[in-house]
Amino acid sequence: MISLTILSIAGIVVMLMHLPQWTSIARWTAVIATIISLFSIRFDSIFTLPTIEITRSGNLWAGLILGLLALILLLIPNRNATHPLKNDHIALLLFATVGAVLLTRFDHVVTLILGLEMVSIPLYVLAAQTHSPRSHEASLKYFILGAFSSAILTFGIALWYRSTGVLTIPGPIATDLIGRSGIVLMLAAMCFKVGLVPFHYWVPDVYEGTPTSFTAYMASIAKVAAFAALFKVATLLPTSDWTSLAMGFGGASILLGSLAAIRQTSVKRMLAYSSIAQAGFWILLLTGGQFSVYFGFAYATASILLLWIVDLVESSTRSHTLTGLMQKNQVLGAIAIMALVSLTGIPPFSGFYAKYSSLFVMMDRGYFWAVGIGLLGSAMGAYYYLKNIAHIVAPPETDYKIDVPVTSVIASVLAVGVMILFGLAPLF
Amino acid sequence: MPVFFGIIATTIILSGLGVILSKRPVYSILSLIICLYAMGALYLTLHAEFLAIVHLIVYAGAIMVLFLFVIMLMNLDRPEHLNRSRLLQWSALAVGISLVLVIGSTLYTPSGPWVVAPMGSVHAIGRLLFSKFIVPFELSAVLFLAAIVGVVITAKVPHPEGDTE
Repeated sequence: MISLTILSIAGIVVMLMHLPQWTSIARWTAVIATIISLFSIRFDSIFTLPTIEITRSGNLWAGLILGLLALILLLIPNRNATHPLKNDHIALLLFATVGAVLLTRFDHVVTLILGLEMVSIPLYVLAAQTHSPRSHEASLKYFILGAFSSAILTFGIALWYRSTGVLTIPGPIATDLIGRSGIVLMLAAMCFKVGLVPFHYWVPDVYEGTPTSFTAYMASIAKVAAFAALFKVATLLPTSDWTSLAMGFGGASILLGSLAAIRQTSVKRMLAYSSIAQAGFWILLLTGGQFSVYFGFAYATASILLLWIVDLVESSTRSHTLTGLMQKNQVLGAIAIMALVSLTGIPPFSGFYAKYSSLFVMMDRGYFWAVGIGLLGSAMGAYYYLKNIAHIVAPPETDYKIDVPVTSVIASVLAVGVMILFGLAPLF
Repeated sequence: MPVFFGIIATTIILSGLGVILSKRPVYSILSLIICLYAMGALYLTLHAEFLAIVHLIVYAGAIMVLFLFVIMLMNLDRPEHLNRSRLLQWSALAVGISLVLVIGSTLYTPSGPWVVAPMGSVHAIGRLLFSKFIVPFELSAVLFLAAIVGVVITAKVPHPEGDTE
């Protein structure tokens, strides 16, 4: 709870710094508060409060979320293609992260619903921040589908409560039909939030319409938090039921996401579809232990870096492609290539071990067809990720110039370093 | 007690029919207000006093005023604006029937722990909010703050030189 309090207070303080010239002070306040709250996670277990459960894996998820938030806050540019960064935006990111951390440590459905809403509501707002029809469409779409999924979640909770009479998670495993259908409805709502295949329709439009700085948040922290909650809710189902459900969602997401990503020309849309495929690999891990946190780290860091670079190129050229980036700015080009290689799943980057562990879990349980789908998806992924690398090293089509603040460069190089370090760590 | 329940239930059903059958949107909304008041009375008979009050204030008060306001402001109160396609009517009927089936099936297997002791008073809920549910209570303040900030920065018209240049 200490970490949540620090984040909330930092959000309020940042919100009150209302002068535009204070943006950099607001940014550094937020970064420092995030780092303090990252280090205070280990003291959270001092107070035991009702409706909050502090577990070791929950702490890992919370640490990942706060680390990613620090990275996003350091990278986010002072102005993107259409509008300047306001202090209110930073405050909303902090408030959303309070919800994300809450999702790693709920043990009651009240805190689950509250966490999901706290992640979503600031994002509905942030999606609408560019004053263009696209951005408003994205926000409205996200809002309506988010409201639907909240309603489905609540209905599922009602049915589950009817059968078990408990509202705490983890709780008893439901045995009768009503209880199980309640849990399946709850899981369906969570799959909306993470964008898994039958519930993925909003992902490409929302990712494309949202200002890119905030797409990075949506694709990383919101997704990590929703996965933390999803794996926890899944413990309410019997293992065999959950395994077959996860394989259905995962296999369909990998295939459809990869097939659709191949056809995209805009990098943002490609990343949106590839995030569906990555979520498919993620859910094949079946439990929210260390491997899932590791997968979240690998996927989210690479996505944040790529979307940051797309954001920078977008504000210089107004186009959604990375063509010729290597000749314009070698550091950014190299970082983009390494992020793409990591998403492809090539060693020594952490993306390799992430994909490997999800295929290994499936192999271990003897579901070879799921492994086959995973390998097929990886091959298609290699095609569309490497196609973008080819664009990056190609000669530029238009003349443009990119300015990057030094702190962002240092932060991104550090992130790549951690990505390689964690990619090598399983070897030792 | 059964007499009260009968009166309330009849009111709810009749006003519910009024919502979906009346030709003009304003009449629908006025029937919906009656329906919500009757539901508030139903909560009172179930010892959920706090819920009844909040239900009246929030639904019958604030939200219904918003509905009426939008309809009057945008001048939507003409029957030809309504899109009553056959497909919509039949699918609404199907959804309604399946909802009744699901809820009915949960009610008519009386093993569940859903029968409530009198615990819905303001006193009991206040104690719960400040003891067991203190964390969600405090955090919902942060949630509402985020929503308010969001509304303000979204609704604010961008300055002509500030945001677009």
